[in-house]
Amino acid sequence: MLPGVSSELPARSYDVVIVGGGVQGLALAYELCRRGVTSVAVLDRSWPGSGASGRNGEMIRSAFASTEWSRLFHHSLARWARLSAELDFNVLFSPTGYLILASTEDEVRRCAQDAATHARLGIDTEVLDARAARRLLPAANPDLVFGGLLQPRAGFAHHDAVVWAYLRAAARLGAHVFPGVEVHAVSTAAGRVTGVRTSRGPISAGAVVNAAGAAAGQLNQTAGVRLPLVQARLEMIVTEALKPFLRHAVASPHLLGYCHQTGRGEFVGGTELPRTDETGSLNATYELLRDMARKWVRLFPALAGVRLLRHWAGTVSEAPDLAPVIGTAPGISRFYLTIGWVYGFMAAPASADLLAEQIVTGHVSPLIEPFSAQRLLDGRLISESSLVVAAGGALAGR
Amino acid sequence: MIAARPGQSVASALHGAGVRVLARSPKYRRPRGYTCGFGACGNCELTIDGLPGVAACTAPVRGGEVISRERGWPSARVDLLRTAGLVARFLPAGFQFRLFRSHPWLASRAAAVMARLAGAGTLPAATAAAPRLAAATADSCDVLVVGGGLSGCAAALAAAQAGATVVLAHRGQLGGRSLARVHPVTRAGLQAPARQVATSLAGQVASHPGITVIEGSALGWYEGGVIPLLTASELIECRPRHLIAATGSYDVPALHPGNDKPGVMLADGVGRLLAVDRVAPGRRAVVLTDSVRGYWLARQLRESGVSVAALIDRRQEPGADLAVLSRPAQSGCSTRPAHDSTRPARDSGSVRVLAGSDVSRVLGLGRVRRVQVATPRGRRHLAADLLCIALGEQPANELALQWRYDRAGSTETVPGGWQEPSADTAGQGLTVVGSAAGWAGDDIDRAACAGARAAALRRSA
Repeated sequence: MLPGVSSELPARSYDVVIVGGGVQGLALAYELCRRGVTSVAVLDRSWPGSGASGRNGEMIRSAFASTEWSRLFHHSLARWARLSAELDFNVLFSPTGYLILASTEDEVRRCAQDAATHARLGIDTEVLDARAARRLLPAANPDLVFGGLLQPRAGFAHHDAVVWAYLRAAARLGAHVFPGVEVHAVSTAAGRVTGVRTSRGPISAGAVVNAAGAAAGQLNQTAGVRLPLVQARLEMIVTEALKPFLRHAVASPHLLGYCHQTGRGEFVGGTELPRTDETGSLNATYELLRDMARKWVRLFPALAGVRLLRHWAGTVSEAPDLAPVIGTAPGISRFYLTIGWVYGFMAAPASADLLAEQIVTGHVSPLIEPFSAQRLLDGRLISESSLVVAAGGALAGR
Repeated sequence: MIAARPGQSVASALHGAGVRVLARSPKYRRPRGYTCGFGACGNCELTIDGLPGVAACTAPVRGGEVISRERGWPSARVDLLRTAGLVARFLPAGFQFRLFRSHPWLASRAAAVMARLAGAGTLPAATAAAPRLAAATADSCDVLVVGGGLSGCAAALAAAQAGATVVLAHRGQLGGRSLARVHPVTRAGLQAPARQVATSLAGQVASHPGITVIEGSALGWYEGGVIPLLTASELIECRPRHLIAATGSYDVPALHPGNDKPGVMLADGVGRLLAVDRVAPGRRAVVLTDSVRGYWLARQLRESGVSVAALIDRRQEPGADLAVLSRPAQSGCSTRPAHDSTRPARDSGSVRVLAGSDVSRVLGLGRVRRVQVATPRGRRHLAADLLCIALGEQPANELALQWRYDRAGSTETVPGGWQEPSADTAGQGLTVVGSAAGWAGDDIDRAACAGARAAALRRSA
């Protein structure tokens, strides 16, 4: 059993019940406890971090194309830099630099545009020409390296360590984390949340938070909240440990892929096909295995012949604009959402901080205000063009 | 420069030449040597002709290859970082990030050092780059058998004899782990040593016109029933009507301090050195067991000229298994290494058996020197340079589980945990046979029945 996981049965009542023991739910529990909320329960149908929190590409940046994304994630990046110290647990945050690779002239131009946005927001990034980019990626196929955008203080962390760190820190402050408790429905009365019905019986709550990852849409529906979310499957591979050949975290919009080499030497990468794979299945597919092998060997030709350790899939919930939904659920008081996360790992330190502030004080930070659920109902979608993920639904084909 | 015979594995050639340390563990740099013999443990990963991470125990010697070890500073043989393990007990976990917090300049120095220590092999050299595979070819067949051990060969033969078109995918030599084993098995009412039966079955499989043998790995079972088979030169996308998973098993190691020292070997690894590679695994062996398997291994060692210091049996009462040690030699099963460099052991005809005992520790700096045994009458020390672990086997059921997981259409872990897929999935296109199905003993005829049934299912489909 992980330190911090409760071995007892859930109590009958909590001030706040968080559904989902991923990085969002656990970070939120920590942030709530830190603000003096002492009666917090985190319920997970499996074990903490068993979903996308333990399956993602663990890369971290704040240099996005849109102001909305960049500001929220930059708040997160500042917290990442001190997270190990704050949680008293080494989350292995490695600020080795994050490179958005440009493989076409068009992508080179876009890097320059985005850099102007970053300069305005005070985010430190650097536009690289072909020569500079090739120098950073000596193992890369030069035919795919025409330039790039480097964020020197971004990088990656170890996703399991981050889950454990938040779990332990939350538990130390008094949060109760229960694995193996499935939430069947969110209970409401007169437009207000009253609790949850679970596989271990009903639990009443002053506030309920949906942090259920891929299952977030289903959970919403049990409370009558209808948002345009789909489930989507993403896949990754990891190779055997190799001597360091790749220092930076690299995202390639051209290949629809992202990769880095861990401190132990494994090459970790994920790619996507230009479509949304709408399924709740966690099975890894042959189609993506081939896609990843082909694309990564194309970018790093010397990877041919290196053996894979694992290939896995994770599922997320996606909004049409691929942006998260943070804040209150429309129409139900004291029901909060932190869902629709595709880049949720890197944002968790910020989103949990700001949502906890909203739950405790009612103040909605301007950093999370653009990500309200209402935007989806009003059709005010956030346009973010630097995501390395296939656009689903409304924005497909952009 | 090391001499080797053709067909011998790289790891066995190195072991035979006295090279005991083949690799180092990633963190504490503990020395690792030849262990499992079947590419399952990762203790003998070497860079061979520029290609990193090659399991040297299953890589055949071709002649003239350049071999290097992957971790170690200044070298894998003498790794000064081994001392990290000796001071680790005095360092609280995570001490470094507290230290680095107060001394940021140390963090950047440490990062540079860690980058040197990270990883194992380097990226493959341009000259070693894997051959560009031919574009994937599609292949459909009635029955695909994955695994060419006793059960796989028997099932493939039976299916082919029943008229099915059969593809048998196998890594390494047909016959599998049974080539390393000398205990008697029964096939069609006749008893013979496993190695002999495996050789005979392999010959029949290879010459049967209805069976296509593919030397390669099944990468997995994927949606839509595709099983990609990766060979040295091509990727074959196989879509069989029926899959027989004869993927065998892994030897289970023992849990005691020093269980990873060079010289601690798993039973099939020892058997492979003796019977296939014909290299002496050591001079003086201790065998740890909890079944008749250890008795056959002790006998195989003795007949090959390795002296057996003791047979440690975890059971209180070995019973009839003792008779294995005194039975007359089996015909056609001489396993004496062709060029045995060890002293010939005095054939005393008896091996000391310590029942109700267990290995409690392995002593020796960098390799096995002494084995500490907890017996009912107290602790004993036995001088030995080889500890053979002949305990249980763990089914190699990854392929079957992948099939099952997909069938479950699961969005979470399989409910009720990982159950063994059993023969009752035959109607759905999968039969698991042999030790992959957890069958105790070598039930060759049962595997043959499964093969014939798979062929019959194809006709009725």
